[in-house]
Amino acid sequence: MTTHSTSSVIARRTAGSASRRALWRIIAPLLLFVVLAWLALTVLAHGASPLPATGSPSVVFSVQAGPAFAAGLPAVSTPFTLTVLATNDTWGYLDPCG
Amino acid sequence: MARRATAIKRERANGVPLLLVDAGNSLTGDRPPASTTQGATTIEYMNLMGYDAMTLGQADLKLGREALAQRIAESDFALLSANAVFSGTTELIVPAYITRAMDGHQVAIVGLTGTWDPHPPADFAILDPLETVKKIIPEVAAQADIIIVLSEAGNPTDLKLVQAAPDIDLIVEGGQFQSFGRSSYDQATNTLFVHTDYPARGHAGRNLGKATVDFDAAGDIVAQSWQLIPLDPNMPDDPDMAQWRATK
Repeated sequence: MTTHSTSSVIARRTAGSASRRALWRIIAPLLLFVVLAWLALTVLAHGASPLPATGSPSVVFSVQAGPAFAAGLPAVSTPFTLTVLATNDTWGYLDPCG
Repeated sequence: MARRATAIKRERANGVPLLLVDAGNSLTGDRPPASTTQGATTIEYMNLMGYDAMTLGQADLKLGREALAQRIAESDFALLSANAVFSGTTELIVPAYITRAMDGHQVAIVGLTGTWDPHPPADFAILDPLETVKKIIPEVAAQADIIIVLSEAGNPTDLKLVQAAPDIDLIVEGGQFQSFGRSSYDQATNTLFVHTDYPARGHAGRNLGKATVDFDAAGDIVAQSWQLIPLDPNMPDDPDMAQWRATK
């Protein structure tokens, strides 16, 4: 009885597994078709790939200005070299002394 | 002075971002015509050379209220001090600082007057430099990513300033003798100190200091060099300035 019952369960599971595989054989191509169709429609609608390429100049990042920027700092800075010419304690002399 | 003009013109000819500044005690002294014109000739030639800013030193304040007001009115450059006030008040004599946009950066120049003179000027009072920078530098840092202080306070005080206000990038020093002729660097605060001339009568105007400072995008110093340009007879007179000199 136990052996028979076990065999029946195994038989039912095998049958169920086979039917799920058959179902996926039908659904998977349909899903693929839907995804491809969506991509194709998006490309047609926007005239370009909806996926931003790495380093693409068309991708603009929005930067939230912090308090310092709000107070007047430039939003974009680059490295630079500054020359500072300095004098001190010249006493208003018109000619170098000593 | 005519030699200084030559050196300045040569540097400007390089076409790089440049500031021309003075760390104080330069308006007047013991010799004519600066002494007899109460610093008017000094303002004239500093205007002609295109100075950007100067801090008021204690010797400059000894011009007194009226003459100093005249010099301030005549100057095309910024006379600065964050701690020189009218006696009995907290009202500043001149602006504490200016800011200037340079190559995408905001550069602030702050003026600071020393307190070492045992005979302070009568019309004015000088607030404690250390307490002053504690208050003013955070305000400046909110508006500028590079902060230059023109300090007449002297090197011992300047070393304490950067501990109290590490946002300072560069201190152009004057007023006292400890560090003249050289540059030094505080690694902990990433601050550069430069000091051109020996601050005493009879030693004035021998050199022009040149600091070349590389800043990163955040406005922090990443490299620097310092050069004393001697204004000796090997430096020719600037013809325009020599002509102006001949009229004085």
